[in-house]
Amino acid sequence: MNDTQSLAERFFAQPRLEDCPVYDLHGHMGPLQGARVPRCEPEQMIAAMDRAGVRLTVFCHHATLSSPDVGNEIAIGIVRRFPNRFRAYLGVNPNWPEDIRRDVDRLDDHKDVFVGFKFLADYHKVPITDERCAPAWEKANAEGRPVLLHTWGGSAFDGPETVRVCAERWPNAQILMGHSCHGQWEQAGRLAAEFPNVYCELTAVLDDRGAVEILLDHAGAEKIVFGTDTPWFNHHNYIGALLGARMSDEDRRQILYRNALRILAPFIDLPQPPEGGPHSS
Amino acid sequence: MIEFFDANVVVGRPQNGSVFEIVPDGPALCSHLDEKGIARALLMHWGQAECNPLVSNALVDEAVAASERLFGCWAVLPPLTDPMITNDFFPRMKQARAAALCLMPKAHRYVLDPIVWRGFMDEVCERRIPVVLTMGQQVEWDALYRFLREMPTLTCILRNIGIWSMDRYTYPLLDAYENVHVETSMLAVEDGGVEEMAKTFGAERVLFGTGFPAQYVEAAMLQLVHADLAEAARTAIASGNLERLIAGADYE
Repeated sequence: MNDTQSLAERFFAQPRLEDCPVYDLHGHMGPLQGARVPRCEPEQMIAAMDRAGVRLTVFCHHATLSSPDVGNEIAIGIVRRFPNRFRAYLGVNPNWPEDIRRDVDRLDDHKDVFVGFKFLADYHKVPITDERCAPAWEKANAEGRPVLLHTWGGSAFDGPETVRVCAERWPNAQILMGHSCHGQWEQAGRLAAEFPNVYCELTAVLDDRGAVEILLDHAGAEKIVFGTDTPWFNHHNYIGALLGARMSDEDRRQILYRNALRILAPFIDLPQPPEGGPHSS
Repeated sequence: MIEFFDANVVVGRPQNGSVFEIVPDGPALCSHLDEKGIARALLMHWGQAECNPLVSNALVDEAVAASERLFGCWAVLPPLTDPMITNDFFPRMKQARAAALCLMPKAHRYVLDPIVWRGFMDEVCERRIPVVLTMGQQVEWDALYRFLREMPTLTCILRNIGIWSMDRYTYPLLDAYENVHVETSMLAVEDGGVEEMAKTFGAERVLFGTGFPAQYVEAAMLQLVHADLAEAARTAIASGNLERLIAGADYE
C-alpha cells in the first residue's frame, strides 16, 4: 500500500482493508415482520461481511426480540456453526419476568455463544431501569459484559436519563447505547464522556450527517463503536459515511475495530489486526 | 473511474436549523462536487417546501446558473389557484436548466389527484418530464398508489424513500409502472437494496443520489462502487439513467 493514502482513498480503491478490519457490534439475523430484508440468512450475512472486511458481527436474532426462548436457541446454533464470524447477545424480554432468570442463566451454559445482553425497551415498553430487567444487569455487571441497548431520544423507556440511571447503578456493565439516543446526540456524547462504562453506537446515526461529529466532540473516538443493524444496513454505506465524517483516520480505526476488540477481549480470543495507520505497510 | 450524477442534492438552509453543514449556493455546491468527485447534480432548495415556490424556484435557478454541471428541479403549484403554469412554462424550464419537477402536496397543501392539475400532468407525462416525489415527508405511499393508477405513464423519481427497507412499497410500483424510478440515498442504506432492485427490475430503474447535505455523499458512493453489480449496471445507476431521463424529456 501507499502509506500516504487515506483510508477513504484506500476504501474507494478496494472493498476491504486487511489492516483496517471492521467489527460490527449491532447486528440481527433472520427475516423480519415489518420489512423485507434481502440478505438476512447467516451465509448471506457472511458474504456481505466478507465484501467489506467485517471480521465479526455480534447479533441478536430477530426472533429473540419478541420471543427470547425461540431466538436465543437459534443464535446458539448459528454461532456454533460459524464461531469465527458471529457472537450473540442474549435477548431478554422483561414482559415475561418469570422467564428472565432462566434466560439469563442460559449464558453460563453458552459462554462460547453469548457475550452479553440485548434490551429492546422501546418495543417491549418496559424501561431499562425496571426491576424486571435487573437479573440481566446484575449478570452483566458482575462479569463486565456488554449490554446493547436500543436507545432513542425522548424515550421514557431508553432515553438518556434512563441510561444514566443504569450507568450509575451498574458501573461494571459495558453499556452500548444502540443508536446513541437518536436525536439527542449531545446528551449521548456527554453520557459516554462521563461514564467509563458507556459507549455510543452508530446504527441509524450515520445517515444523519453531522451527528457522529457531535458524539466525537463530546465523547472522543474511544467511546464510539461501529454497528449497522446488519442485515438491515449496508456495511459499505456506513463505512462510507464514516469516511465522509469530519474526523481523523486514527479516529476511524478506533471506531471500526479498536474499541470493539477492547470490549470483547475478555470474552473472545480475537486476532489482532496488523496495526494500520499512516506508517503501516 | 465512475462518473456520478447526483439526483438528490438540496441547497440553502432549512428553517429549523440542522446538525449538518449546509451548502448555501451554486458555487459552494460546485466546490463540494469537485472535492467529492461528482460530475453533475440535480438540485432542489430547502425553501421549496418551506416558502412559496414562486419565490424559491428562483433560488433554484440562481444556484443552477453557477455551472452547467447543475440542473434544477422546480416545485409546481396547482393551476386553479396559483399563476405558475403559463403557456411558456416548459421553454422556461429549458432556459433555466430545470430538468425536473417536484410535487409537494403536504407542504403546499393540495391533494395528489389529477383533477388538481387540470390536464397539466397529462402534458408532463406526454413530455416525459421527470417528477421528483419525496416520500414520507411530502407524499404518502397510498396517495402515490392512487395517483399512479390515474397517471400510469408518469416519469417519476421516488426520493428519500426511508431508511428501513421499503421494498414492499416500491416493488409493486416498479412492477406495475415502467416509468417509476428510485433514487439511492436511502435505498443504498439497505443491505442488498440496490442490487436486488436492479436485478429484479433492471438497473435502469435506479438513480444514484446522495441526500447531500443531510447525508454523507461517501455513503451512497462507496456502496455503489463496491456493489455486486455488472459494470454496465453500475455506470447506468451512477449517471447514465438520469442523463437518459433528461435527454428523453421534451422541454420545447
